[in-house]
Amino acid sequence: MIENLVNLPVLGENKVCRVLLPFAVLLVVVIANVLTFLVVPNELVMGAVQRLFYFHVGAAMATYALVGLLFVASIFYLSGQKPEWDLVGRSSAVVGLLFASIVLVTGSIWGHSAWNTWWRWEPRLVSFLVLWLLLLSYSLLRSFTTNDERQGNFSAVLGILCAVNVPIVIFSVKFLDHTQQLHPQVVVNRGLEDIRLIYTLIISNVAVILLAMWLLMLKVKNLLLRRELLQLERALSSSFKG
Amino acid sequence: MSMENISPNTYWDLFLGYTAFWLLIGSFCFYLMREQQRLAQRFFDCEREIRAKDAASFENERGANPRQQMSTAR
Repeated sequence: MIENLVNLPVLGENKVCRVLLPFAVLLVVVIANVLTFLVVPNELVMGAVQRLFYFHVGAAMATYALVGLLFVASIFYLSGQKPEWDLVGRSSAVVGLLFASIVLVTGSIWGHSAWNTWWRWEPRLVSFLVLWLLLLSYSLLRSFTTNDERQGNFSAVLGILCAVNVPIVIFSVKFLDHTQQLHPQVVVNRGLEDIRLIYTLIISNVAVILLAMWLLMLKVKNLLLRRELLQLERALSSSFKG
Repeated sequence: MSMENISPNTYWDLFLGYTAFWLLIGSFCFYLMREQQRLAQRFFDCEREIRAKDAASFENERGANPRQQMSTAR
């Protein structure tokens, strides 16, 4: 499916990519906002700032989904060396870096209100910071190296490393006893008792993941355009030489 | 707990976090749009260059082979 989407004419003409996805994103984002700010009640201990939870968790889910896609693209690129997979991997790393940054920023602001500190060196936060650093290094590697094939191979290996870090992030809250860390295990501990909290969380997760997919499509399209342009410029300089 | 009992700081932090979320998404969208515009401009320049070079090479061919030019005229 991705191979069909990663095709310039298809991406340009496909109605799903051009019309339906942005419309669906807008609709679900509006619904998620209405639910977050008008429907769900204030949390008893943390108050209004707890509403950040819906976007914070959604951004984390989107990051995991994008790193999963980066993993698939890296494996396919390394096994078949098809350049389209490299573009998908590259785009998912860039958009993944954006959403990982959102997780760190919103988490930090929420932590300031809930824990009275912006940052704490505990397993979940540190492992997520490592994931952010890996995604950042992937993006830097892409912007500093020039050799296409070697660049693709190195990046694919780094992409796999990013994906290996995801289970560490997910299970990091179990490394220490819950009394020694502040990051909550809301879903595992069945902390959401009100049904409104549960469906708001689900819809906001869907909204943020759809938003991430739309941005991913735009980024893939830009990279495809850039590749086409480079080929055109190369052909132009060689055909008119002499 | 009613809304009045909550420290105003939590509202400020909610505002800060929500603004940061949309600011980051908005900046990225802006960056993507600028990138797309730049690429479209480069495509346009490339096309113009191809047309100019095509026209120039056609003129050169006509200049180098006047007999062919006459035969086509006939």
